Amino acid sequence: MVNNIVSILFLIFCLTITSSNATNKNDKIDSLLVDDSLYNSSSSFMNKAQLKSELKSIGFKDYIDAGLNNEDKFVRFSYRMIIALLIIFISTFIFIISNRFVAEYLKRKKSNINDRVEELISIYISIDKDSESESDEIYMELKSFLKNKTARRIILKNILSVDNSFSGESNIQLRKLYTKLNYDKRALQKLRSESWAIRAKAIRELSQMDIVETTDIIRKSLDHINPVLRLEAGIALLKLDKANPFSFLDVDRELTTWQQMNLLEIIRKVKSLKVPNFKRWLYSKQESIIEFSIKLISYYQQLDAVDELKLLLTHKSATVRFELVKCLGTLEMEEVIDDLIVVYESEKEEAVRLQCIKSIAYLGGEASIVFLEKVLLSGISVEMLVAAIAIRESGVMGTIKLKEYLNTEDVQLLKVLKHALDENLIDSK
Amino acid sequence: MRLLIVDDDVLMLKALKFRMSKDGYDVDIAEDGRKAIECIDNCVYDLVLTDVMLPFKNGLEIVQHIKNKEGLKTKVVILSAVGVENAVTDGFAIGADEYITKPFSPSELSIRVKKLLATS
Repeated sequence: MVNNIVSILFLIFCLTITSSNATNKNDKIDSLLVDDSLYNSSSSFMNKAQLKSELKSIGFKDYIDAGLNNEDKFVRFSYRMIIALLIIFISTFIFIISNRFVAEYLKRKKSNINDRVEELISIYISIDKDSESESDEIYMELKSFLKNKTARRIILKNILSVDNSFSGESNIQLRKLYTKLNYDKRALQKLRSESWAIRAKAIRELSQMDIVETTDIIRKSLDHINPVLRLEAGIALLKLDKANPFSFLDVDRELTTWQQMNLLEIIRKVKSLKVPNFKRWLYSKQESIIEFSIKLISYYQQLDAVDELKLLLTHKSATVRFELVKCLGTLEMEEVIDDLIVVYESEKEEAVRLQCIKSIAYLGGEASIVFLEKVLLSGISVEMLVAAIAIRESGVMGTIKLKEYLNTEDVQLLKVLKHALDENLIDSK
Repeated sequence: MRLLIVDDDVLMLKALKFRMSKDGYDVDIAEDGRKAIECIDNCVYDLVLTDVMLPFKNGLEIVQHIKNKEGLKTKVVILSAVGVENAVTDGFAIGADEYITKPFSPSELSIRVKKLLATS
């Protein structure tokens, strides 16, 4: 494509030069012919011999001999233009056609390689363990493709794809093939790349192929400026660092909400993960790490972290306080209700206050109902509604309790109660 | 024994076809639900291995199509990805005989297919 553009530009350039040259010469001829007419009509400074020699000097012998006028010159110029345009058109056409042929050829070649590689890998993962000669043959054929960059990519794509779909012996075979074909070494080279995207891809590949030896090199990317690369490194360590899979929390870098979501997703999937006590990260300088540690304490139900969590309830960050309140609710320890009530009473952030109501409701018990009734009569609409819904969801007794208030003259409370008890809304849930 | 494997992942199809052929079955493949239905209408299969998420018609529709055909004793194995467990329950409800979650071991699948066909 670039070649085509360059060639077309070159042709246009040549045409411009030719036409500008012709224009210059024509201009000169014109001026001389004007002089010639002047010579014929009256006395002039230039005689005919002079004119002839001048015309000869600029190489327009035909003009002199044929005595061309301006119209003839225009026809000649038009012919030249048409020829130039024709050349451009034909060359462009040839370029487009040849390009199409080349693209088609490459596409077909790629498709053939892909078909063959798919076939080879399909056979490879189905070969019996003891049939070494067959697997060696396949390995040799795949190895022969490696000189070609496109083929290399196709093989890698197929290995990674099959690895995702199959498990057990097939994966072990594939991973052996991956290292035998030196893809791990290539990935390691990519890890040295300046481009974060190439490094991120290499990390993902090494992590999928379970190349544990690269753990320390991958760890270096945890402190990279790019959040995507940091995320990939974190995910990779969860899989590869068997001794300390959560070491990415030690790096003093922000964990965005997006990163936290992705990490939680992986944590849910990775089996037999060595889980540390997350309370050690509750005092990190990075608020997002504290936030994520609280989520993990909640996820792994680390009840021994309750005291540390309670101490943090006065944390300056509203997000951290929100997560703490949420986490304390999920740990299902009724004794934290009093602490949550204290937070609710002193809290100014609406989201945290609402979460306090939800967590206390989730914990249940007598103290919880007493608190929720108090909130129901607080006069703050949103909180009243959350409390009313929580009371209703506590069971039949909760609904009965709410109905007891229906005789109230408080219009706001009545609206809240009607909304909370609306059968249509309950059914729609 | 004749098998139909339905999956939109071509590589998966090829690998399974190779594996099942190696086990001695006659194997047909289909890359989408529509082709699978065509195959089922034109040929009698002893077993159909189908993915849930497919173009045009999903795996459950294929199961339904098989089970709606009178006198057809085709066994159905659902290949499901993690996260579509509900589809498996729905599949069993409409008559699927077995399921296997991706990623799976080809050897395990091979054994399950053998067992299932032995009971038919």
